[in-house]
Amino acid sequence: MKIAIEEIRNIEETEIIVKCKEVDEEVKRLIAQIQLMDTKIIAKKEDRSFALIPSEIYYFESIDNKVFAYMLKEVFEVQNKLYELEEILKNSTFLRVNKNTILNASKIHHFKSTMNGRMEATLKNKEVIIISRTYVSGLKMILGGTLK
Amino acid sequence: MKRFFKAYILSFFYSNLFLILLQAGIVRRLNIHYNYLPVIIGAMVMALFLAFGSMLFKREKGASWLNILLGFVVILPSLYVIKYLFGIIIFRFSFVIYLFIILIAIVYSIMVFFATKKARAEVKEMNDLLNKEKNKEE
Repeated sequence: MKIAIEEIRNIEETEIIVKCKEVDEEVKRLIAQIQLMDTKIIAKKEDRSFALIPSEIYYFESIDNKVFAYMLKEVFEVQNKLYELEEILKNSTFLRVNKNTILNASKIHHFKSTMNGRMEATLKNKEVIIISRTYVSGLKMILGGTLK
Repeated sequence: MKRFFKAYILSFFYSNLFLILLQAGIVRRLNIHYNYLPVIIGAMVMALFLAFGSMLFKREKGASWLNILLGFVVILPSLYVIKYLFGIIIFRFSFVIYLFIILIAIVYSIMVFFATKKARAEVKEMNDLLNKEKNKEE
């Protein structure tokens, strides 16, 4: 992939033009990543509001009707529901991996399986998230694999 | 509930098939007439144990070895359904029940083996994809 940057002094807003043969999955993901840079997730912690950058979030988890965003060391309470976050973060590296969790695939360190066929993802912060079989195909797509 | 119902339907199919074959074998060898209705009801009860066992086996919470063990323990009472249906014809000797337990254990182990193998292959594929992505980034 070639990256060309053109500096124009009198331009009002930064513009990104993607030149490609066809809009394939990779291009779609690239666009989603760029769009994600503008997206902020509003979250609360100790009565203070924060605007979280999605790429720094490890995963979202719903516990007792409350949604939490897990960063490397901190946890914030998010006002959105999981399905709303799914919609906001669609076409990005975020994906629902079980009933209560939306995971940032770019934060996965490795996968492992257990004796009963359960799949687990170990994140870069050493946390372990269970992956439901229902969502494995979607995760493969995000990781660049093909659907079987 | 939906998952349990799916597992139940599948378990009912297999338990029904197993009981019908068992019944057919008894009818053929010993020429004893059986009603079909108790066999179907038996298959329905057996399917309950099997579906519940399968749900425990696939459970996402808790230690996986414990889920495997619980799944096995839960399907064992289905032997009593066979005993209730065919009684002394099959369980004439007390050791037969142990033979059945061993048979279930073997079938269960084979299922565990294939489930583990399939999951390992999938995990390997996912880890390969992940490594490919990491290499691209580097």
